[in-house]
Amino acid sequence: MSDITLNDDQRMLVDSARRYIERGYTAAQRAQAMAREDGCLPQHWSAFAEMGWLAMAVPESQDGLSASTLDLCLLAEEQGRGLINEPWLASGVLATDLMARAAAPAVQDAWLPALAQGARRIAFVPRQAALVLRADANAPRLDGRSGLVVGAAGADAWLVEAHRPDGGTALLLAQADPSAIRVEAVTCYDGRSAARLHFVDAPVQLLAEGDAALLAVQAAERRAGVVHAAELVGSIQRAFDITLDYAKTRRQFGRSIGDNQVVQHRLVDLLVEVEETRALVRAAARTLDDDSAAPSLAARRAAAAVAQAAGAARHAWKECVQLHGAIGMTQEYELGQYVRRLAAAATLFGGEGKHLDTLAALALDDASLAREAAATLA
Amino acid sequence: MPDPTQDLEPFRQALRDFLRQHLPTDIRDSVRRGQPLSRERTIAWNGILAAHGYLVPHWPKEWGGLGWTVNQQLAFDEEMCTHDAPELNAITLDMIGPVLVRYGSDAQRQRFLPAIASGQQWWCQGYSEPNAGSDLASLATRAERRGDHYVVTGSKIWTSYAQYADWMFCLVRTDTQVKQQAGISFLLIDMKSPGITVRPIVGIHGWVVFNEVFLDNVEVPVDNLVGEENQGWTIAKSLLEFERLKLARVGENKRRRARCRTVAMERQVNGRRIAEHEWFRTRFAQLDARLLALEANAERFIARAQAGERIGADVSMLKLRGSQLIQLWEELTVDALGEDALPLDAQRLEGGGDAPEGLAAIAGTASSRRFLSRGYTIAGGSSEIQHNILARQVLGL
Repeated sequence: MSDITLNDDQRMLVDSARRYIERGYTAAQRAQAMAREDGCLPQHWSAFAEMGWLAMAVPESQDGLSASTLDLCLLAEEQGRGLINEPWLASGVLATDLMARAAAPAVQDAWLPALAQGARRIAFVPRQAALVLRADANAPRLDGRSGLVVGAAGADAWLVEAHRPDGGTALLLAQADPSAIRVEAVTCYDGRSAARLHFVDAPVQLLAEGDAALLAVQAAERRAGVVHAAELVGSIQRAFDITLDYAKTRRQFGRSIGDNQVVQHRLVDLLVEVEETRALVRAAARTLDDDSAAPSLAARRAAAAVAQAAGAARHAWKECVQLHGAIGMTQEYELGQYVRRLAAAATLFGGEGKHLDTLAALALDDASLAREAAATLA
Repeated sequence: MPDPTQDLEPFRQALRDFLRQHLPTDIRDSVRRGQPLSRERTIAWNGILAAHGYLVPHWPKEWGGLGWTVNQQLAFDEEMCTHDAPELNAITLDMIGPVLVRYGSDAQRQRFLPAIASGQQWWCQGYSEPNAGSDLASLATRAERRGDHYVVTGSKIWTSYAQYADWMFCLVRTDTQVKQQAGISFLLIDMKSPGITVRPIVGIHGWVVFNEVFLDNVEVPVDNLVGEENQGWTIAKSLLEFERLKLARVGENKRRRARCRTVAMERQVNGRRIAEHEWFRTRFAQLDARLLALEANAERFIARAQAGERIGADVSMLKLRGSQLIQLWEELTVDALGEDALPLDAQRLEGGGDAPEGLAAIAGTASSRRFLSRGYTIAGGSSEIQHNILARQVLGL
C-alpha cells in the first residue's frame, strides 16, 4: 500500500535507491562484497557516498544532510529489499549518529566530513563486562574483549562503550592500531561481516562519561534500532513477493498452489504482518522525529517496532520456506539469501526479547516510566 | 507529517471534559467492570450524547451530524473507549442511520432519522438465518407482495439485542428465480408487528445477546421497502468506508488493555503482583506491540480517507487484526485472574447488584467477556471471509 504521507523528496529517495540497487548491486556484486573479510566492496562504499547515503546521519553543521529517521528508514527498506551487504547501518547510521551526539566539536570536525565522504568507516562497540577503561587522566587506555559486532571489521575507528574503574560508563574513540587492537573478523551466515575486538593497553580518546554517555548511546541505539527494523521490513517484503509469485506459478495437481485456500490464507497472514510492521516502523520513526511527541510514546513505538520486525522476520522466513517446498531449502535459489538474512538479522539490536522487556517495563513498571521521562528531559 | 494526534489535543480535551461532567457514575462503573448495560441505561446515555450533538456526529449536518473529519470521529471513539463510556449501538447509529440517509425515501428519513438521532429508538439487524451465515446471500426468509403490503415468513438468528429492539432492518427474498444476490430486498419491520416472536439465546458467556426472530406472515407496508425491490444486497454491502476504519477497534483494544493492566497491577500470586511475573510481562508486551502496530496501520488508512482517497479492499486487514487482538487481551486478562475469574458471579449478569471497584469488579465479568469476544472474529464477515477477500482482491490469488 502506498504511503500517501510521503513527500516528493522521500519518493525520489526511494526511487533512486531502488534504481541503483537493481542496476548496480547484482547478485554477483553482492557475492564480491561477501567474499571480503570486511564485507564491504570499496566501489559500493564510494557509490553510497556519492548518493549521499553516508551523509544522512551527519548534521548539516558538518556538511551533512541531517536526515530524518523516516528518511533513514525509507532507504533502509530499499537496502533490505536488495540485501545490501555493506555496513551502512553500522557505520553510516548508528556510529555516525552516536558520534554526532556525543563527541566534542573538534572530534566531529576530524571525523564526520570524512565519514560522509566515505573516506572512513567507524562502528559502535556496545558494553561488555570485559571492556574496562584504565583511569589515567592524561592517557586513557582500554583493555578487554568485545562481543561480536556486525560491521566492526575494516573500520578505521570504533566507538566503544566501556566500564570505568568506578563502575560508571565511558564512551571512547579507539583508532585502528594493530599493535594494540586485534580484529578477529568473522563472516556471518547471511554474508555480513562481524568482528570481535581485542584491546590490549589500547590508547583511546574519551568522548563522554556517565549519564551523558548513556543517554547518547540510548538515543543512537533507539534510532538505529528503528532503522534496522525498516531494513527487516524491506527484506521481508521481498521474500514475500518471491513467495507470492511462486505460489501463482508453481503448479501441482493441475492448478497453482496458490489456488489452495490454505496457502492463500497463510500468504494473507504474511501480507498483513508486513503491512502492519511497516506502518509501525514508520510511525516509530515519525515519533522519534517529532520533538513535541510524548517521550513515552516514542519509547514504546521504537521498542515495539524492533520487537514486531524481529518476530515478523522469523515468521516470514519460515513460512516462505514452507510455502515453497523443497526449493525453498536451497542456497542457490534467490529466496535462500533472504532466509539467511532474515534469520540472522532478527537477532540483532537485542532481538525480540530485549524489546519486549522494554515494552513490559514501560507499561507495567511505574519507575521505568518515570526514568524515561527524566532521561528525555535531561 | 506530524503526528495527527497532536493537532487533535484541544478537541480531545473538550471530549474528556464532557465525559467528566456528563457520564453518569453508575454507567461508567458498569463499563469499567465490563458489565452489559440495560436498555434503559443505554437509552439514557444516548439521550445525554444526543443533547450535546455527540450521538451521531458522523452523520451529514442536515440530519444532526457535526461535519467532523475522519480523524476527529476516530479520536472521539477512542476517548469514549479509554474513559469508560459505553460502546454505542453501531447497528442503529452506524448502519441503519447512514443507510437511510443514502437510500431511504424522504418519508422514511423524516420518519426514522430524527428518532434515531435522539437516541431513543433501538434497531436490530435481521441478516443471518439458520442456513445463511457467512453465505448470507443464500437467505430464505420470503417476502411476498400483496397489495400495499409484503407478507414476510421465515426466521432470523444471531440477531443481537432483538429483545430490546423497536425496529429491525431485514434482508428478505423477493425473487427466487434470479441469481441469489439479485432477489433480495431491504425491509424495515416494526418489532411490535403481529406474527413476530423473539426467542432469546443464552450465550456461552451467560448473557443474552443473541436471539432467534421468527416471522410468521408478518405484514410490512410497502412504504417500508428501502430502495428498489431486489436492491437489498447492494444496500447491505454499502457499509460506509468510515465504518470499515472503525473495525480496527483501536479504542476498544485500548479499553481492554487498561482492564488487563489493572488486573496485573492489583492481583498478587505468591506475594508478587502478576505484573512482575515473567510469563505475563512477555505476553503483555507482545500484545502491546501488536496494538501499536494495529494503531499505526489504522492511521495509514485514516490518512488515506482524510485525503479523500478511496479505501481499498486491503482495509479488511484492520477488521481481521483488530478482532483477533481483542480476543487476545480478553484471554490474557482471564489468565491473569486465574481462579479469581472462575465464580459464576451474579454481577456478571445484567443489572446484577453493585460490583466493587478494581480487581474484584473486573473478575466478575472477565470470563463472560472472554467468551463474548469469540464473536468478534465470527460476526460481520468472519476472519476466514476476510482472508478470502484479501487473497482475492489484494494478492490476486
